[in-house]
Amino acid sequence: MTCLKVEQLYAYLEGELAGRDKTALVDHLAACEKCRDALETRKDLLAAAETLPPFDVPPDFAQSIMDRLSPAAAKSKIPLPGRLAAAAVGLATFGITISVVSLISRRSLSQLFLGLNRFFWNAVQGFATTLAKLAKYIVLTFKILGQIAGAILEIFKALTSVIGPETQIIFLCVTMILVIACGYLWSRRFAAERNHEK
Amino acid sequence: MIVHRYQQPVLNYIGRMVRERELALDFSQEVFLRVYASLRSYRPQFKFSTWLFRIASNFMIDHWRKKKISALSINQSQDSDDDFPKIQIRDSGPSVIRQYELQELRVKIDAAIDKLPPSLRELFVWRHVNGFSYEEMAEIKGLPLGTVKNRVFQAKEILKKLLEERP
Repeated sequence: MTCLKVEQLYAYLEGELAGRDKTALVDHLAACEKCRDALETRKDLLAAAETLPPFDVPPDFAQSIMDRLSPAAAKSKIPLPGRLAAAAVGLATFGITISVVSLISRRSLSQLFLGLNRFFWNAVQGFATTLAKLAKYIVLTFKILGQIAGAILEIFKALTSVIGPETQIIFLCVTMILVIACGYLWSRRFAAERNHEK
Repeated sequence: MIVHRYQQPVLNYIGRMVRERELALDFSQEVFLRVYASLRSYRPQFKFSTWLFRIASNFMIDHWRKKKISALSINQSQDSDDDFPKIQIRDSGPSVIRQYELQELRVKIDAAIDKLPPSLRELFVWRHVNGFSYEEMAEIKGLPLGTVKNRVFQAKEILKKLLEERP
């Protein structure tokens, strides 16, 4: 009687045998102690492997991944007591600073607040003046750009009166083909760079 | 949610590969970050777990490479033949393995898994710890089914041999 092959034992244990092969193997096992022992050994080995204790997943595992995915969201998740404590510390620091400055400069608190008010008002005035100047420059830039566009339009008008309609169509088609080709090439290059980064 | 659904199998796999809990947690996090970063490249015609474990497996390969373990031991089979080695049962007397209690055997097998070459360890863990099918493992690794079965078979027989060596 020829004994079984080890791979047949594993196939049997993993439920991969069926029909005649399975019956023949079961019949052989019933008659052969050596093969029965070999089967039980492999059965014990697999049972031990399949019942190994799982690794403990910490309760905050998923949250820590989410925090790493969006650090800004994590920052905003400071608990309310923490935020209140931070606000209280900020207010206290402000009060202490004001008191110290008042003591050093020998001015009353009302004088200090008046001084601060004047300082902030001057800063707001300066900022508003700069903003107005910036707006003026932006308007000026748009005016210049409008004049340039007008000049280009005039040139096109002059050209279309000189060139015949057929030539104009050819010119338009060639321009469109060039634009589409450039767009396609650029998108392919962009996709290739993204793949390379991955 | 992806993490909640796959955290246990991923941690079990990586944990058995590196055997250090803290390192396994760090690596598992990195794997999930890679998964999220590459979600756009996922194609729904593939099983999600297959795709995820391919990322995890590639991560582990990168890790072994950094640790200077030869690429051969990670990716290649020591026996590239797809057929089984056809080991005949020999009359070697009652196995030591059968004398152990299940709990004792678990401790011993846990330590013995670490002695397997990474390429065999990975497949053994997927098959007998994570409970993957041979077909899914073949798809994850991009290997022929026969090669995967052969490697798992080799892993089991090496483990048996290691367990039978008395300490």
